[in-house]
Amino acid sequence: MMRSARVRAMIACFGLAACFTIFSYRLVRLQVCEHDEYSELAAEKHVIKQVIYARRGTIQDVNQEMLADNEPIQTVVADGKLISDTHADPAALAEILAEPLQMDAADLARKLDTDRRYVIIKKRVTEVQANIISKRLAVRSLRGIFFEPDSTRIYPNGKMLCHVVGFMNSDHKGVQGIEGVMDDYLRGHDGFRFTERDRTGKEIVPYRAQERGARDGCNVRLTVDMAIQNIVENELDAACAQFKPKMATVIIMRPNTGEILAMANRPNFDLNEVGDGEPEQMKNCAILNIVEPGSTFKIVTAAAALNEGVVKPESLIFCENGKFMFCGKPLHDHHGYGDLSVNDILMKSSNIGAAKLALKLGDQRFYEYIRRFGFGERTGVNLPGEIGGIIHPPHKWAKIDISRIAMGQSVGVTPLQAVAAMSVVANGGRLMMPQIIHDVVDDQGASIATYPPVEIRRVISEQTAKEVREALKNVVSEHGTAVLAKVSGFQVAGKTGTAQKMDPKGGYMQGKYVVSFLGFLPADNPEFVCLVMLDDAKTTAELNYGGQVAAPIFSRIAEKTARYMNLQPQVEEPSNKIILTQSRHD
Amino acid sequence: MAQNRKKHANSLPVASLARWIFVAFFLGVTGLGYVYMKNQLHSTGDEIKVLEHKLDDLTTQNNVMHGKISTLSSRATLQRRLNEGFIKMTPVSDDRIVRVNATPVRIAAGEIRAVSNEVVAK
Repeated sequence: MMRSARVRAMIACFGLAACFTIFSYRLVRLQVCEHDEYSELAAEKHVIKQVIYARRGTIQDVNQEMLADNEPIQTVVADGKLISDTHADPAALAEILAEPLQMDAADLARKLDTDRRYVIIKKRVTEVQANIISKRLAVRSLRGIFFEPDSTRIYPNGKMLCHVVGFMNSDHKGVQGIEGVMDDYLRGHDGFRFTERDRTGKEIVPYRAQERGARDGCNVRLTVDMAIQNIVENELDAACAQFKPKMATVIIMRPNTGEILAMANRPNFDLNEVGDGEPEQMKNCAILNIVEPGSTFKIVTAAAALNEGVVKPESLIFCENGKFMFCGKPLHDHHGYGDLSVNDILMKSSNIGAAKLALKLGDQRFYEYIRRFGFGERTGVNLPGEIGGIIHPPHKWAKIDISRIAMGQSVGVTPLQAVAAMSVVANGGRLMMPQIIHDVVDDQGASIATYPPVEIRRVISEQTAKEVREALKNVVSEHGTAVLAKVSGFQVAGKTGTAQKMDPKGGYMQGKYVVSFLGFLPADNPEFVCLVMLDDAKTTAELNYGGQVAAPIFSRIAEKTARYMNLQPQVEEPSNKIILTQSRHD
Repeated sequence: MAQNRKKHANSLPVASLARWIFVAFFLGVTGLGYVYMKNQLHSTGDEIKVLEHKLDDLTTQNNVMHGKISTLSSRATLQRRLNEGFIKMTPVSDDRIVRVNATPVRIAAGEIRAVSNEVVAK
């Protein structure tokens, strides 16, 4: 009896021990061996990673005028399961949402009558609309509608400077202009936070874990001055209304530093309505269009010849009285000229004179100067997609080419390259890299990156540059081709260009021209270089010249820009009562 | 007899009782304190959340206003308002400019200035 009791007790003890052993084993397995797996499972249920969104940096002009900013918007999202769980009436919810979202109530009700946990109701909802909806939902204690914060880019100036500022794609990535090229600086870095939610989805703040704050994007400041840009845009609009060109470009640059003060193209597009823009409108012609520069290229020919010492400014070149047979083909001048000095060749824009200067230089030396002026390579401006133009090496030239290249034919250049080349003459012989970005600052205003002037190379001597400047002053005189480029109170230097348009099928198009004026002001101490270029201006044949179409536009732009820049007039005009002459001895 | 009665009388172990009461009280207070602290932590968390929401709202409002200011003060908008006649600008004609004083900055001999202004373009 006693024995069987002991046995029973032992069996019970063993049973219990086995039981606890099994439990212990299971406990150890759950808590130790499979700890990570189950922790992960638990975390999946409660722990979430919240993204802390970084604010995209702004784009500003040199005076911190806003060119691209952010506007908060919301995406309205519905949780169909929560709506049905809380027995909320989809029709009642739809009624609340319909009016502020400007949607049809019946359509909304159908959308809300679902078990799906994530239904996007509407994107790009403004803060005002979102606030109205939130208040109405709170009043009626309805649940199941959420707002996801987002932001959209706004461009306060719309079409102005559109090709430079650029835009973003639907993934908030910059794809054009400064938005594209400076995306790494502008974007910033999103932060994150690990936190836990309770059964109802509410965050349990004390259980917040690892957290890293967002780093907002940097602000990019351009060298562009919107006051000058405004002058350019208004004048370009007026010019386009008058001449209806296929394409038009105006660039203003500081020759001493390479800072671009204004850059405008037509056609253009509205940055706030990018979807409506055609690819042709979005093209930044200033850096993407290859044109034959025409007579403006003669500054390269003359500067090269003077710098090499093959001629002097007063050297006389016989211009064949208007018809020069070279390689069996005639080369004409607009008027017949006899002997012309180098200065006069530029002033009268003699094709024959320019061709003879190039012939004196020879193929190789002429080609080297063309390249030293920056043609045939990218200028290095901080804008995406820039092309280098087309300059063939001398071994690919036909015998006749040197006479055509000298007057700006058989070469392809971008408008910005032409401006950079003229800056060489204006600043005393140095090729400067065009700069469009002034600096990059963080959201506290601390400087992140600066873009100081970059001298690429010395192209011609200061003396040669001075001699070419003197010659270009005469172009804007009663005897030159650009008397209409004159600016009241200032001495202007510049060169007109009238180039026949190339036919994609070969040869040139009849009656279609690219007219341009490339000049600077004040002539002796230039503050800015300005290019006005119109492609296929609709005007009469006798007026379709750079001096007739582009020069007056240059004059108006340069006059207003000089006033804005507070430049001191140097030329006293008898009729001008406001000019005050003072000397130190007064 | 009296001595025996005295010996067999049940006396209260006050010290021991006090010790246990103290331990129980201490455990109770600690527990309640823990719950209270935990509760405080949660309510503070909720307050933090509310304040964060307020801060987010203010930041959002600030950004909205900033965007509005940018748009309304942009050249395109000002030009449109000018064209619509909401803003009036009259250019100062040359004959209306009166120069009372000589230019305050030293200028070189023969140099000409359009207006008397200390800001000289570089």
